[in-house]
Amino acid sequence: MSEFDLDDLLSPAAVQDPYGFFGTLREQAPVHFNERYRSWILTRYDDISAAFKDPRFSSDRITPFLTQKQEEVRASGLADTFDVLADWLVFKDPPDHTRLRKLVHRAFSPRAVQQMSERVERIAGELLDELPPEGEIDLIREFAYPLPAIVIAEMLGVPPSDRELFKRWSDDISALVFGGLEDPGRHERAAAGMLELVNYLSDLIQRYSVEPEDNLISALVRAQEEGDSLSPEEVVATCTLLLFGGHETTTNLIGNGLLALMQHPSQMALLRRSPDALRGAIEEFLRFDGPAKAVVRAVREDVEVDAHKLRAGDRVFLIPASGNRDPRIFANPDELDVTRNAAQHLGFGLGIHYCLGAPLARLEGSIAIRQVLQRLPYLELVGDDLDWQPVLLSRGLSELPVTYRSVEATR
Amino acid sequence: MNDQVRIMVDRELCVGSASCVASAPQRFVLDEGLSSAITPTATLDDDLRDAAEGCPVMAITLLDVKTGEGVW
Repeated sequence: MSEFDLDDLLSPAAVQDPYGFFGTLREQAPVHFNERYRSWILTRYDDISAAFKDPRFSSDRITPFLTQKQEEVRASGLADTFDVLADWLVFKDPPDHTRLRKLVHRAFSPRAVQQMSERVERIAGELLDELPPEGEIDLIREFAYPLPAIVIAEMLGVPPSDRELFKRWSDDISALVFGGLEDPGRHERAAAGMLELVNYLSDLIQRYSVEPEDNLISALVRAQEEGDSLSPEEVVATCTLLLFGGHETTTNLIGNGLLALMQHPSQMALLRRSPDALRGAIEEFLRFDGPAKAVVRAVREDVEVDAHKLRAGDRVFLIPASGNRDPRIFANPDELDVTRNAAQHLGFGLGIHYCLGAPLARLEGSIAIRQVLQRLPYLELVGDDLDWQPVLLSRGLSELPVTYRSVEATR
Repeated sequence: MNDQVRIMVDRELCVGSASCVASAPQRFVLDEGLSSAITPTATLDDDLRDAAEGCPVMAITLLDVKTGEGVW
């Protein structure tokens, strides 16, 4: 008998331990129809990997939703929010996806991102400079949360004075996209946040189209003007996507990675001795407890998976959190081993929607974790009562209370 | 100008993002979900360079046909 109610994807037990929950599903019913969520759930590595690469699993889960629930959406006051979301390239299939992705992928190529490293080092350093020499802090709030927000805002061209506004809007919209429970005001906040963000970005786009600078918004505006068939709405939507996609996911990579190290002190010691090992360690953090718990697809035409018939229109959850712990692929999958080769993990997806920001996430993750290890010795978790966000798609902590002593204080 | 390069795709590294297909559709296709060069050699142009440079996992290598040196 299992300790989990396999129908409830967001029971406290499943939120606390998604690996136990989805692992049970993977070994008992790897292709499972969840009645409560009216969705298929794929939990084996091979099935997830195949679905990521199969165009019959569509990423456009907004259009069918809008068509089916048109009246509900209009009545909810979220119509404008969904109009913007519908232009996000993560929700697009080719050829729109190809066109949009092509315009931004160069800015996020490994080489382009490498040029960001000094900037990321500086921002991380400044955040750590602001901490007291020793004591107890929430590492999410003081470090893992602001770092990627500042990085992506700077890349886009948001003036430093507007950063706080940006962080708030990002929060409000993420509550909708990641499907939080027990948060009755989330629809209203998402709608308001999206509206404010769109207005703000429209002003910024206007400004950079008159006086271009060396930033992403200027580059998008230039692409639009050079006739790359990008509509003004798509420029705004792409900016909101980059802001949003570059933020909370990276926060969770940093937070979950540092948590894993605090829970495995010998591996933290290893990375302190050999910081070069961080490159590989980041892949292991993405595999072991990565930010992407689940990914949604819509079946576009009937497809068979392991003798189950998935019909056009069905919804599917692909579970990287389970594929990344599949013993058929990874030896001792439930053990953290920062020295293993974890490159095959599904943390960034696979196929045409493979995370555009992967090179940036890797860079930010390794710089952030290295700086914390260097500058906050004797880092320890406070208590063991972890507060995981009760959401379906992402895996992240609400807070990460730690104690530390600074280098200076230990002299 | 007429630089011929050998196009090498490391299919172990490739994640099938199809960035290269978007940049240079005349040079790359997805084959069983992974990138594959349509012809083993080609003239180096901006599209091909974009494709190699834009690959999120650096799976594409371009070698000068004459000298064998890596141009990307």
